[in-house]
Amino acid sequence: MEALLPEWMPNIHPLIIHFPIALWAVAFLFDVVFVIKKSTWTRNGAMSLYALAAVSAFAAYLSGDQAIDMVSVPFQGEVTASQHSDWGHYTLYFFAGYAVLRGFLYWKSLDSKKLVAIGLLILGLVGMGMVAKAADLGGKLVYKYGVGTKK
Amino acid sequence: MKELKSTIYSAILFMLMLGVAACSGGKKSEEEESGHDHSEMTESEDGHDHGEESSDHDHGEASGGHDHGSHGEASMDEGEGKTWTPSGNGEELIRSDFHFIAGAMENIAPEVTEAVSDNVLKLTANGTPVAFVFHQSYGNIGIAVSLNANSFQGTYKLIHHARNADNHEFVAVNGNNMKLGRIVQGDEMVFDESEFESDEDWINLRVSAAGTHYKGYIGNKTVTHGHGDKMENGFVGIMLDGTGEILIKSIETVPLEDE
Repeated sequence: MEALLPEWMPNIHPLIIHFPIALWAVAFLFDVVFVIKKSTWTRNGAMSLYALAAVSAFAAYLSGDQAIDMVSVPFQGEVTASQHSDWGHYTLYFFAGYAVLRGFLYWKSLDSKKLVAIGLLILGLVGMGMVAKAADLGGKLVYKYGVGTKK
Repeated sequence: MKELKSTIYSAILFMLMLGVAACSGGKKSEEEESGHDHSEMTESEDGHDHGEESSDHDHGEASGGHDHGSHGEASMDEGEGKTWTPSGNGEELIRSDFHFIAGAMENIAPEVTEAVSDNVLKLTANGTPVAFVFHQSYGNIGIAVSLNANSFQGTYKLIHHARNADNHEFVAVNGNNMKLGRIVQGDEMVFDESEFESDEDWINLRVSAAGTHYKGYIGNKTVTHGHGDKMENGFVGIMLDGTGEILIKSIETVPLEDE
């Protein structure tokens, strides 16, 4: 996989991390639309996107775990690196748990009930907050401390 | 059907609580980390390039008024960032800037000498395990030591969060093997262990302890990376278990804070 990377890119993590962020955000939008006006395609779309977001969060976790030992972190960035890693873990566990719950409700056709749909929407918002926090810390590592900007 | 409904609502509530718990957990760890050391960064504030050494000397700083002669737990002053370089008389230097938590002065016979146009501290270990630490204590910490261990046979360690010889975190190097772990009540726990390559006489051994994440570097290359519970603040220093000479050019300590 590393051989596919451009020579200036230190690892694959920066390519992967955008997937869980974007997929979860779009899934959340599908959910908002679904709560306002129920339709099969928004229901199916949200379910698929949340599942893909969870899978891509797992890929982001694996690539991050590998990346952190391939880059040089200045001392002042170590606390941020540590927090980024912790929030990456929290986000993965949440996404995975949510996808399983969502899959179960979808399977039982209970996710269309008004109260359940609103509950899932709120949880989706929590997931947005968590991935935003992890992303914010990752951005700080790169743009404030220059981590991973040189191979 | 009613049971299933209540199960679903419980599951949703549980997920919500998980999210809130993660948020508050993150916040708490941030507060803990930022609250450990409120001292101002001094020399090391912009010392991000750990390969370079400053010429600052701050021997004996914050050492007055404490009895550091015994091997028990000494009282702890909060430490700040600094780059320590040797000068003057070896024994006086060790006595003013460090205290022993294992072994004694005669086990290392310290001398200040010159090598590669810099003052270096030459320690000649006689085989008795010895550990000496700065007088100040630290929480989250980065340590960088420039040293030459070509004539040393055995294990040398950078120790931190040290309460005494039986309770500390360490990065231990023996030949080309690096081990990262902690000693609790005398029992060793190894978080990570790895081989490294270095054909340089002088190496820059770096250690970072940030929250529950611990790393050992040679230069800018990560060699070991492990995780463990956060330990109480403790001393930072060097432990030797072997024989022969070890040369130390500088020791940089950087308290790690969230900015």
